[in-house]
Amino acid sequence: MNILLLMIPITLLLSTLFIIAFIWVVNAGQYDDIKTPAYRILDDDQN
Amino acid sequence: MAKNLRVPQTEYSYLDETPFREAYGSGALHNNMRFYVEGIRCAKCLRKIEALSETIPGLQSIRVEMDTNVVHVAFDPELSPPSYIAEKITALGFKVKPLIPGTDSEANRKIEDRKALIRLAVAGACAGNIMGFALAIYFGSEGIWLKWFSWLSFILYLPVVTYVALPFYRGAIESLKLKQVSIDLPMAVASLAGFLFSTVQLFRGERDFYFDSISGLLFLILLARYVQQSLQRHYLQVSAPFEELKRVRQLKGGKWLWQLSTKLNSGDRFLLQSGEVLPVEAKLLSPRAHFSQAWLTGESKPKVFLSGATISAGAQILGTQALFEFLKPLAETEFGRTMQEVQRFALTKNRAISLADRWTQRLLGGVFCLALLFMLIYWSVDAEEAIRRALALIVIACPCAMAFGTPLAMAFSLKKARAAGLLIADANIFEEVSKIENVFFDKTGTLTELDLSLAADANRVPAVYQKVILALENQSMHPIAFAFRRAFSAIGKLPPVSNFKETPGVGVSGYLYGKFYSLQRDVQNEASGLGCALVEDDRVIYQFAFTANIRPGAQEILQELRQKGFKVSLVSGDNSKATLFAADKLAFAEGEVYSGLSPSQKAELVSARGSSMMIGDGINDAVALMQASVGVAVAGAVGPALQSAKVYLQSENLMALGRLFVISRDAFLLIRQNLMLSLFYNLIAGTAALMGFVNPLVAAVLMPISSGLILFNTWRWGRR
Repeated sequence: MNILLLMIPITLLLSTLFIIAFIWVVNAGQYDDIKTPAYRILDDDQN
Repeated sequence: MAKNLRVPQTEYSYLDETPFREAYGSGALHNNMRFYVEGIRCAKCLRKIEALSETIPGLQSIRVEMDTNVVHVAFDPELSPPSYIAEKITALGFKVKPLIPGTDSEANRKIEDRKALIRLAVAGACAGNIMGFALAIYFGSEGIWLKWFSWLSFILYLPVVTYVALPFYRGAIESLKLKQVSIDLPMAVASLAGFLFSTVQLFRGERDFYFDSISGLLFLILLARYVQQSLQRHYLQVSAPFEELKRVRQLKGGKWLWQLSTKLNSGDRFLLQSGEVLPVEAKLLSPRAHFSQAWLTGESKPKVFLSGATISAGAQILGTQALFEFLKPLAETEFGRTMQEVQRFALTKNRAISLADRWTQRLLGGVFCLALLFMLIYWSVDAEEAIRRALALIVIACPCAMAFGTPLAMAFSLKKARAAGLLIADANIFEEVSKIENVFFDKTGTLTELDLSLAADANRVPAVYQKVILALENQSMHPIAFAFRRAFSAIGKLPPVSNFKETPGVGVSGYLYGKFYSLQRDVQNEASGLGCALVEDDRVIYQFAFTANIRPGAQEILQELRQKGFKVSLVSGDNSKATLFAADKLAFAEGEVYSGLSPSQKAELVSARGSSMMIGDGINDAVALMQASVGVAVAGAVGPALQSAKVYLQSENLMALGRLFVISRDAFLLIRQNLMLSLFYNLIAGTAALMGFVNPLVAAVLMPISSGLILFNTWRWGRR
């Protein structure tokens, strides 16, 4: 059971980090347009 | 006089002039613009447009947003003026329209969207983690571990009660202000009461909490609402490019300059070219000109006006260019007033109280009263148990089906509708549609096409005369000329015409192959639309009749609706002759046809009968579209019609309308089925709660079961 003392703080820390990252990503506008980038990647860059 | 002056010809040159640069451009230098670009469908289109930044000097950035069909550009006005960029995109084969920069509502929508997404993420993370800890508690954690897990649940619930549930508090307060009960109210109460109760339990060292069930429920509801919202928003994106600044070429100091129609003063002279729409009320200065008032009045036949006539705003000039003198601004004309009314309507759109809302109100009213009553009665027996059971009732009777079953069912239906080519502004219309009894159709532009077509078979005319006709009509912008061009499409090089003359209202004439030809109006032949005759040296050799074709799918949909027992009617602003001609073709009975209606008469007819649907396309339909229970704008509809309708038919074919009825009926049935399921569940669970059988563990098991049932039922239907 003592391993939980380590695991639980780690999961909490991870989920906090993910939420912070997600907030940052949303505010950076990455989710404003979720259709175009899928097409943009299909373009084989001639340059 | 004015004819000798060079008229600026390129389509987008107005974008370079200061008033327009300032109106359309954003940023300090007005050098950021957005274009609505139709036709971007694949990676190749995307690449072609975005590659323009490599070939246009001074184009600082160009970015395509495929979901909204918007292209963002930033440019150096010295090196590449906006008109140049717009023309380059047009040259690639796309239709381009500048967009008025981010109105407040649009910017707000973006922020709201982001907020909703973040809220959803926080709700999901908290709920998921709390459930993990709750599971451990339910499986019998003891001692220090129980304490740990309880406190962790409590800490993770804090963001839920203070942040995630905020929209529910707001909604609850708003609904209370309106003296109504909305779905937000029980959610707010459950969130707060559950928090208080569970916190008290926590300090007392007990092990029954509501943290897990409530946070999970809130997450599911937010998710369903988010999906529904994002599907509804598509309607706004489609109607946005219809907001356009009206412009004219104004004669100023001997030069033609682009001017905003709102900046014209009385006495100002301006020019309109063929196909343009008059943005103000004005006096015609040119000797004569043709106008189409199809959108304004529903009249299909173009009208000739002579010099000095007052032309109302909204009329479209055909065939030639013409000079005008400004009389009245848009806001003081009937057209402008209609537009204002429509905009006001768009802002205050009253949400109809739906079936789900009514059920929610009744059920919630019942649950709250019951809980209160029970508490009062049971208080003398056992005060703590009274609170506990009343709370269990409130938490467990949270109408999951209404809270997320309904938005989810609507989201599925919106998606189905979109696949069928129907854009819907408000999912609540599904219920309205399933109650419709009367269906009103506009004629011009809705059941019939706006363009005229040659009524008879084109092949009866020998190729040599087809050539003569096309050569004569080569320069003309009259609807008849377009009809000829469409009918005689397989003709090669055209012979030259000498002594060519075009007389608006009469026809065209000239010499070809040494003979004098004229195509002139033929009033005898105008039973169904316009008529004209080809004359060779004073001898009539061919007569042509032109009618507005019936829109594809019109006959089929009318037949389908009649079979299903709807009462269909034709309401038109056109004269009775033209209306009866179309009515005859479409098999309307005598009492079902109304002609010569003004916009307000149309609206009266539609609103006089309850549960009515109006289908239209023009400015003259806008008021009727608003007043009908359900307004449907067809493909090609003008801005005001689109804004006042709640459904937009994307395809030219009217058959999609039939799908609307099917989808709506299914959606309505599904919502009702979900409501029955939840009612059944509530009866059982509610009774159990009052009898004291429900503790948080039972709630944690029962609530997901009921939610899962609703989810499964909705999903099963959505796949059909």
